[in-house]
Amino acid sequence: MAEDGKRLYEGLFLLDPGFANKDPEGAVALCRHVLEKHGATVIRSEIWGEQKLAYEVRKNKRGAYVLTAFRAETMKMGEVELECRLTERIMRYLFLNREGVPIEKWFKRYEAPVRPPRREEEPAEAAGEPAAV
Amino acid sequence: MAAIRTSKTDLKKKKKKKRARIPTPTQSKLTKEQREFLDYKDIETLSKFITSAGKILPRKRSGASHAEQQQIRDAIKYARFMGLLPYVAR
Repeated sequence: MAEDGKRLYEGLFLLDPGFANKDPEGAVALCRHVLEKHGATVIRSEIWGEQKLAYEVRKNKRGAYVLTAFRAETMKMGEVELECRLTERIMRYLFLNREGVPIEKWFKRYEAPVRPPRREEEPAEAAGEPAAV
Repeated sequence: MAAIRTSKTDLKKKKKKKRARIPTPTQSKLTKEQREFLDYKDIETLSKFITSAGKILPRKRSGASHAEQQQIRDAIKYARFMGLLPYVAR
């Protein structure tokens, strides 16, 4: 732990895609605001554009992520989490302690794996069309 | 109806035939850097350690050491929570 009594954290927020698409800067600002309200100092923040989710979260098939690196007091993290839960635009959040791990190691976006298109989809569509007509 | 009799030796032979040997990997697919620090955001790597149904591979199939398997397991669980990996895939 550093001298100021704060720890380095990684924070990933999953945001409502409608809001984050319209106003990407506002999305980052929202995450900063949530953290800074409780005495955290944001070191870096980055928005990942809207992307497809592995499963539906609050009826949303897509979502936008904001990755942040910040220093905060451990005792304040409960308050930050409560704030996130009460903020409707934040669908999910994850805070991990990264004290002692160099920031370059984890503050990055990985490229999405290239997936071959599903075989099932095409026959299903073809079978569905005649039935509809 | 006469019961079909199979001797014990026959049964043994049948069992042996059914079992297909799956070669067990001696090492996981992690790189040296990843062994030190595995990031839950790195879906490309993590997707090597899940089945097509989304289950975490057992150590026997992933070839990971105990410590590596723990890292992989935790990373997959974080990724699942954030919607990066599926809990169940069809």
